[in-house]
Amino acid sequence: MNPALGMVLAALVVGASVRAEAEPYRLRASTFAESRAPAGLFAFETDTRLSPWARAEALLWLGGGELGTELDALVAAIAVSHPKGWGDAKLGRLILTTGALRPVHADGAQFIARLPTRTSIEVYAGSPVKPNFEVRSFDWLLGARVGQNIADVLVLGVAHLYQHTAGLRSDHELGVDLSFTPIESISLAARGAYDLISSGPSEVVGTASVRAGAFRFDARGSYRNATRILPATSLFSVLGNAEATVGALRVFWRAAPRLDLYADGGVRHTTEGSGEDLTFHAMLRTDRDGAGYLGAELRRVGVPGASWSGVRAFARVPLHPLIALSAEGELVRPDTDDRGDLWPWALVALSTQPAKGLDVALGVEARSSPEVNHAVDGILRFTYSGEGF
Amino acid sequence: MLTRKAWPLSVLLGLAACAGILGLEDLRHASFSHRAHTTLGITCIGCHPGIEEAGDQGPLHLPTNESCLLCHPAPHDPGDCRGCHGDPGTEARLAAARHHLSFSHAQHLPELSGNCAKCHLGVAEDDEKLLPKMANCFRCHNHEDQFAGRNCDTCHQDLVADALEPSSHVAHNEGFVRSHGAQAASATDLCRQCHSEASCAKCHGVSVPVLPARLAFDAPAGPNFHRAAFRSRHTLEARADSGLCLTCHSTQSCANCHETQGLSAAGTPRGSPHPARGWVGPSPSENAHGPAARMDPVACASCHQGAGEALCVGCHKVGGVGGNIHPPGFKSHLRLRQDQPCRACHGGP
Repeated sequence: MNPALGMVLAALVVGASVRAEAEPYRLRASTFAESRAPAGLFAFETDTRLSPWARAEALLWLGGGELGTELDALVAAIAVSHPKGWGDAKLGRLILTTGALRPVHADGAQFIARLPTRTSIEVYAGSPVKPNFEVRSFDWLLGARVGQNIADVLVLGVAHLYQHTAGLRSDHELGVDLSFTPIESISLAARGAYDLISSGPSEVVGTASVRAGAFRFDARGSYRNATRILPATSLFSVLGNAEATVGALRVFWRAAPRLDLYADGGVRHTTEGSGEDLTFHAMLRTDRDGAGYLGAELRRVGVPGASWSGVRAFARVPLHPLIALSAEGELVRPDTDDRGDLWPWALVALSTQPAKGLDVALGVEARSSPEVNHAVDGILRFTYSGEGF
Repeated sequence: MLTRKAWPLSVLLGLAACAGILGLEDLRHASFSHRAHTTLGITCIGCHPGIEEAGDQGPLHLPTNESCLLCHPAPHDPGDCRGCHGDPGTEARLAAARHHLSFSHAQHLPELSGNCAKCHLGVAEDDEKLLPKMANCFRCHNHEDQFAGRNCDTCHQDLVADALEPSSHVAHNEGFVRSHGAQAASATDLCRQCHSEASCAKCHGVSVPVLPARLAFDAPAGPNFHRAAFRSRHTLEARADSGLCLTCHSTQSCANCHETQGLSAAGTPRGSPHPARGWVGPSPSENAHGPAARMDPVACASCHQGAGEALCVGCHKVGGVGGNIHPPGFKSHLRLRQDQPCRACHGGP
């Protein structure tokens, strides 16, 4: 049997067998179809608390389109926790996230230990997921993170990842992360990853947020080197200088209880030069719970080779407590004219919850894009959520 | 046609309507005013009988018509008072809190000498702030050990199942999706208290069949990177910050989609994503593919990975017409003749 499929099935079987004090399974089944590809999708999601210390979950999907039918599992995992929180263990198909390093989708296991000194130690190992239960020999990864909480205001962490793809070293990174929250209204967070194969930073990201009454100020900055983020086995990793640096500030203002405004301004620098990245966004909620709203957004990106301007407007109108009409439109004007002057796009959708746990949405999308002169397509989503077993 | 005198009136009416929509005044219905009742000396228990004995389960102890009739013996409508004077949103939030939280009024009221406002701080000011925020709990309860052990079950029944959005701590504000990567780095352990594996996998999974924004096509205000006509814009977005895409997507994700669209050498090609002229040529000015590859190598790798790399190596191999593709100062710890991709050019006979 395919080992990846075996691991997923094992997680489901273990989950089904350890059900002495289990709560009912929460189920969610979604069908999504669109005429554009055309493509159809059936997704099945379930999770349950097997006991106060154990949880199981799975997310599987079956899709059909021009490339044929595909079946895959995004998640199939069992998680157990120490009753007093001294540690957790997870087994199955997981998203492995440790500190500064990018999330890895893998079949494997992850262990977390929390020491009384407010130190946490995380270790994981597994095989990177390949779509459609494909398995490639000699693909494996091993990672770890050690984090230290200092006085509940500062968290520092160091992480390490080593990955082999098809028997070759493809990723070897060291990461450092920190989070600083001196008071509730101020928070800073940063992470940086260093590529040990080409000896250079692959990704550095930082954010700072300050809240003051109806205003919030968010600053963010990032540096990414795509050639170092790519697996070292890729030929394109040797281009060596595909850097992108971003610095931006967002000012958010709740101008009225139901009116939110924000302006976001920044500079992006790529190998082709620098340019502005500007956004102005306004949204007005038409009721207290935010079920209905009107909004508009202006955007300008001026990076050479990737510059464009656009306007987007959107609205959602509750026609009835169980029925809503939504509409969204966007008009993009690229600065280069080799792929068309304007890219208009619009979508109108009607959604309803005809019974408890049921959700149905139907949409019509129209567009003119670089790929097609004009097109009109339909979209359908049907979701059932409930409990079973 | 509006007369000159009618203009100011129209403007005033417009402003009043806007004020209602903006939330400055709720015009929807005359909701219940706690302030008006408490200032008349009516106790909380007077309208919420039995709340002082309420445990973790049972009814919500909302006022009934009988409670209202004690002071309002001649109601203007024989129907349910809460039908008009109660806010359905508040009732729904109360019911959700009863379901999700382990909380006993019977245990708390004696400790607070029956003073409900010690927890329900906002009740005298605003009927939208009836539920105490979690920060209020910490005024008396020190949950340091539970925080350290990531053990929230003492109060929260099941955070993963509840899908609550924190408001008083770790607030997921506008723009959180953009900044969550940096914030989650040091707090992954905390994130896991509420978020299941599936909530991460829906974006970060290798084989995501439909992006969450596409699935939620009927909720256009939802936070997401891939809103509206992202598919048309994605080339420009990727070039402006090429490494960002790889935070969630593998190059295989790009290849799968391009193959479906016929924009790939694999499958049935219907077109090329490259310009017809100046992409590959004999002179530097006619080689737009070089700068494009340096700006967004991920895009190249998504189609030309593996066997497709031979196309590049044909010209860029040692001694080839394409010249050296490495930037000045390039270094790598890979072994030149053994490891991929070095050996593709440097392997030699």
